[in-house]
Amino acid sequence: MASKSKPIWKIEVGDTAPEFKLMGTGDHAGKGGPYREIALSDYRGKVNVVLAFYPAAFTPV
Amino acid sequence: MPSYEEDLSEFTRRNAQVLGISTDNVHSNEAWAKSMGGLSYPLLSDFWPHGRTAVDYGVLRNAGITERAIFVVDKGGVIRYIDIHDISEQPPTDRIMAALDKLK
Repeated sequence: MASKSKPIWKIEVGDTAPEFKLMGTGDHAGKGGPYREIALSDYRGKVNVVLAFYPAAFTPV
Repeated sequence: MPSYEEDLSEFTRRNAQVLGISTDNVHSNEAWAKSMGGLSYPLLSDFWPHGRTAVDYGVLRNAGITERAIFVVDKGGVIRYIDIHDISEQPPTDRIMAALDKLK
């Protein structure tokens, strides 16, 4: 949980995750499936969600 | 992101859906994923309003791109694990798995 570059606004463990609805690739990115909007609440009561923010497409990993 | 691909069955076993999020548009994300041979999870575009979701999560940087960060959200919509990383590093997957193991 330690953060080297701490943002001004910081949410914490135990907080309700901010809701979002974003345009996404298909369920399997890069496989040509139809784009669709995905909301965090789509998964409520069903599965845990791992949100992986990443800097930009085509960044080296 | 590719390292999560290798661990995908481990996420599935823990009843977890992986969602990648960046400020790229959906076409860039699709092209990028395709260049890696495809992924088993979707990539979401926090593109317009630009970085709105990243702001909500406190991970938008000045250049308009996001930190490399992981948030584990349980079925009730509560954040259970946060890892904000230096942009050049990949968050350690074993800790994400340990966080998921605590959820039932």
